[in-house]
Formats: sequence, C-alpha cells, structure tokens
Amino acid sequence: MVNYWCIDDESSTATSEIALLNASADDIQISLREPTTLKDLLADIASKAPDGLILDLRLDEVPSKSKYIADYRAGTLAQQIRSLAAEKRIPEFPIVLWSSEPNLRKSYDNDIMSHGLFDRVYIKNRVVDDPKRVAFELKHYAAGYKALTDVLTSGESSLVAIVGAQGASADFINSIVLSSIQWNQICSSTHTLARWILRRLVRSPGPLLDEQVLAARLGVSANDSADWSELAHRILSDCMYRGPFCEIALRWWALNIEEWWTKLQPDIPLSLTPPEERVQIIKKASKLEKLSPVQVGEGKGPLLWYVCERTLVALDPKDGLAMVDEDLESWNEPQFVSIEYALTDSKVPLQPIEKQRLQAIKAARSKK
Amino acid sequence: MSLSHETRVIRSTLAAELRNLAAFFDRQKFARTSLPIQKASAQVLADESAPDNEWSYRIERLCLPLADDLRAYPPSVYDAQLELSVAVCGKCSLESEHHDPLCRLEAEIVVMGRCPQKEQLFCSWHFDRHVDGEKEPHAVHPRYHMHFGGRRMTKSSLDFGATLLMPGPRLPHPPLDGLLFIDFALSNFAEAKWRHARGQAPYLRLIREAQLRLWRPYARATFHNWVKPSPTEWSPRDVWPHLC
Repeated sequence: MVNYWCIDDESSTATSEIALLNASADDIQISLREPTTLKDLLADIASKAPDGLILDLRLDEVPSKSKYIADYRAGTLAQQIRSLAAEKRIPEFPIVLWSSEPNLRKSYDNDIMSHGLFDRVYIKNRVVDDPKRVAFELKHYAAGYKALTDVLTSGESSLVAIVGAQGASADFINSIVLSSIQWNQICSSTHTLARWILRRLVRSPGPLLDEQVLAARLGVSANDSADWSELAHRILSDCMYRGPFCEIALRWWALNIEEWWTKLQPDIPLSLTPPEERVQIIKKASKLEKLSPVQVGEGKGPLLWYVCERTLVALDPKDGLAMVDEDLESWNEPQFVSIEYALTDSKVPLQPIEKQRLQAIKAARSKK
Repeated sequence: MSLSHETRVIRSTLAAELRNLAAFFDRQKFARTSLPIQKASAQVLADESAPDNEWSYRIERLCLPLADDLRAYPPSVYDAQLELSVAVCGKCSLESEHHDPLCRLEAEIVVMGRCPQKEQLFCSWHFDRHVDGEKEPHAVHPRYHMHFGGRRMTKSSLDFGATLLMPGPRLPHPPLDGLLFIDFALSNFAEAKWRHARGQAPYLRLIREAQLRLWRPYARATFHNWVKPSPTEWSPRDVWPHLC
C-alpha cells in the first residue's frame, strides 16, 4: 500500500477529492492532515515517513479545527523537506502540488524558484475528471522515488543503466548528455535525480519521444490506424523507455526508432522518407495491415518529424515554428507550433529566429 | 570491438569537433536546434558497425531559417529555409597526405521558400563521391562532384514548371565532410551568417583543420598532374578527369 499525506487547510473541500482518489485504486491510501506548526509537521513527517505528499498551495488561508492558521505556504514546506532530505534527516518521496486554478495563477506561476520542488502540479477541482489517472500517477511517482533511492543506495551511478538506454541512445547519452551536465550533482539526492529524469528526459522531447511525435516520425495517422497500438507497443517494444516513471508517461527512444528503421531501409533515413513510403515499408516489415499514413495538407512539406504542440498536427520542420524554452538543454529538441496556429495566437513563445519568420509570413500573406 | 589507437584518436577528434560546431551553432542561434550535429558527434565516436580503419557519421536535416539572407528568383520569395544533410565516411589514418581521405560521401543542400503564388518553392543540390563500379558512367564523373537537382527534387511530387532536370553537369569540388559542407552551404546561401562565423576564431579553427585533412591531399593530387614525380597515390585524373 502506498501512503500519501495530503496537507490542506481547506479540509472540507479536500475530503471529497481524497475519498474519490482512495476509491479509485486499491493500493493507495491518502490521509488528510491539517497544517500544524512547521516544526511539528516536519517532525511528524520525519518520524512517520509517508510515501508521498500532496500539498495545497495556500496553506495559510483557512484556520484548522484547532483554530491554527499556518504562517507558511506549500513552497516553504516543500523547501524545508527537500533540504532535510538532502541531509538525510527525512526520507525522500514525491511532493505534488494541488490547488485551485486562480491560486496557481496568482501564487505559483510566477514563483519560478519553487517550481523545481514539486514533481507534479494538479488543478484541484480537475482531479475529479479522471481520479483513476491521478491515483495511478501518484502511486507511480512514489514507486519511481523508491526505485531511484534503491539505485542510489546500491551505488549505481551510470545514467545509461539507470534509464535503461541501449544502442545509439546509450551512445548519445554517454557522449553528448553526460558531457553537458553535472552528473554527480544530479545524483546527489533522489529528488534531484527524479526531477532531472522527469524534466529533461520524460517530459521534454529529445532522446525520448511521446506517442504523438512517434506517430509523426513513423508517418502513421494513429487515429485512423487500428493497428497503431500493436505497432507502438508490440513491434516497437524494444524501443520503449522502461526507466523510472515509465508508467506515468509512455515514451520511445528516438535513436532506437531510427536504428530500427535503418534495419528495414538502410538506404534512405527515416527523416527523408515521405509518410506513404514510411508506412508502406513498416506495413511490410511488421505484417500489420491497418496502418494509414498521415495525409499531408496542400502546400505542406511531406517529411514529417514533429507535431504542433497546440493542435497535435504532424509537421514537416519547414512548416513549424520552434518555441523557446530556456530551461532545456541543447540536446533536448525544441517544441513546435504550426505556422497556422502561430498566426492565430500571438502569445506563443517563439525563438527569435522564428519570430522573424512569422513576421515575414504575416507580411507576405497580408499582401495576398 | 577493440579499436586501434589511431582510430580512437581520429574518431574522438572528429566527435569533439562536431560537438564544438554544435555549441557554436547554439551560441550563434544559427539553427533552431543543433541536435543533428550532436547526433553525428555521438555516432562517429561509437559507430561499431564501421570497420576499424574508418569513421562515419550522418547529419540529417540541419535546418537554418534564412531570414533575409537569400537572394533568389522569384524576388517575392519569403520564409526561406536551408536544410542540410550529409552522410560521410572516411579513413582513419593520421598520415593521409597521399590518398583520398574519404570512402563515401553523399550530401544534399535543400533550399525552400514560399511566394505569394506558391506555398512550396524548392531547389536542391546534390554532392557526392563517385563510387567505382557503380553503373559505368556515360558522362564525366570527377571523384567529388556537385550537381543541381538530386533525389530530393526528382523524387519530389512538386511541380517544377518548365525546369529541365538532368544528372549533370557534375562540377568538381574538393571533398567535404560535415564541417566543410556546412561551411560551403553557409557561404553560398547564408552569406551574413558565413561572414560572421568566419570572423570567429573557434569556427575558423574547425574549418582550417578539416581543410587540412581533406583539401590538402586533394590539392596535392591535382598539383602533381604537372609536377613529377608524384609522391601521392591519388591520381590527378581520378580527382579531375578533365586533366590531360
């Protein structure tokens, strides 16, 4: 059983959400706790060692049953826990944040320094939309932390071994990724390691691809292909990421997909093959018939490689605009939006070079 | 597989050079991502499929938005982009003065753009190393040559209007690896970026080293068409079949 504590000053509203989560999985137990003094709460956490914490962002708004109003917020509490964990005075576990959307906008979005403290942020009233998914994720965050703690305790310090990379992906990690990071510092605690794996590998494209980008690279229209799941999960099973937190987000190793392709078609790289040919070759090799290629729109490039992050349409790089994300490493891939989407949304954060492109496109189209 | 010392030195030198080029591209923000160069760097270092005495890597679709750099016809072209791909394989020899330094080379320059009448404007140049025995050539094939068109155009479903695409002329050019190929493409299609890069010592150093490895043997082989005896095993007429 995975035991989470939920610390929330609004116990009346949190009770129903917690009950829903507890009812959504047999192997997770979330107990609600009201804030006490920071010192008492930290002592309690240290002695009882829950498997994970769910923190309400604003713990300082509503008095508890004993009329106590906390003088700290989730960020302060999480920072204290992370500091004590770094000194090995508290066990390491995942900390997730949940809060109302207005509170997140008002008190969290701009508090960038606190973002690294939490493993996941949930909008509290949306938990009811898919409680099974949330309970599943909480369980696997806790499992991922435990697995990483065991790995670090065992003395294993090879990134390739920890994330289970093989072939070209292992080569890329060894020669490119490791030369750009302070690996010893990342390995200094379970939290820093978990945070790095989640942020840099699992949640950012680069060495790992999500299912939409995978489909784009294979040229397959997943929605129109009854055999898509069979291809992605069985045929490409060896390319799937099996490292920490793999249950939370399905990912495939990008370079292993390209290696797989090279065995099918050694002459022309995947990225230079149009979708019809990609699918034709994949169908022949996999014996899966129900795979349909992505239909490329009129005037669009056929060499699909990315997806528009907003519309999920597969994109040839020439038809996309790369977004800026200063937090990414150079070996992470930028995320893209389609030109059509960028023309409708002026708030998309684009790379400076892409802003120039968009301006030129706007100017040319306005003359048409 | 245990590699010879020479092979390890050459592969790790090339990997470091490619990594430095990627870092230079990142600093200058020339491309949206330098990942294609980084992947090549990882590949050259760890390519177990390559024979011990060879190195190889592939840069796939390095994409550079050209902004206002491109001068072209139609003059109304906008959103021009340059896309570079190269697959190259060379010999691991620290003493490569006297023979052809590469075994295989295929590279493609693609320039794309739009104009008010058309959403897709496209042209490509193909550069390769002629492989002996690969269909006896009818027209002259300098060992390293470049021609307009190539597979990206002939296989494209785009309408090229009244343009006639032919396999020649194949223009001789000194061999190119990833660095020299990128430098060549910048110098012809992104002049401002190229001039800026050429003013930067780290970039210049990379290009100078690559020229020394690839162009010195080429120039030497050609030179010895007129200066005998020739110490080089690379025949001038192999380099440049027009010589007599």
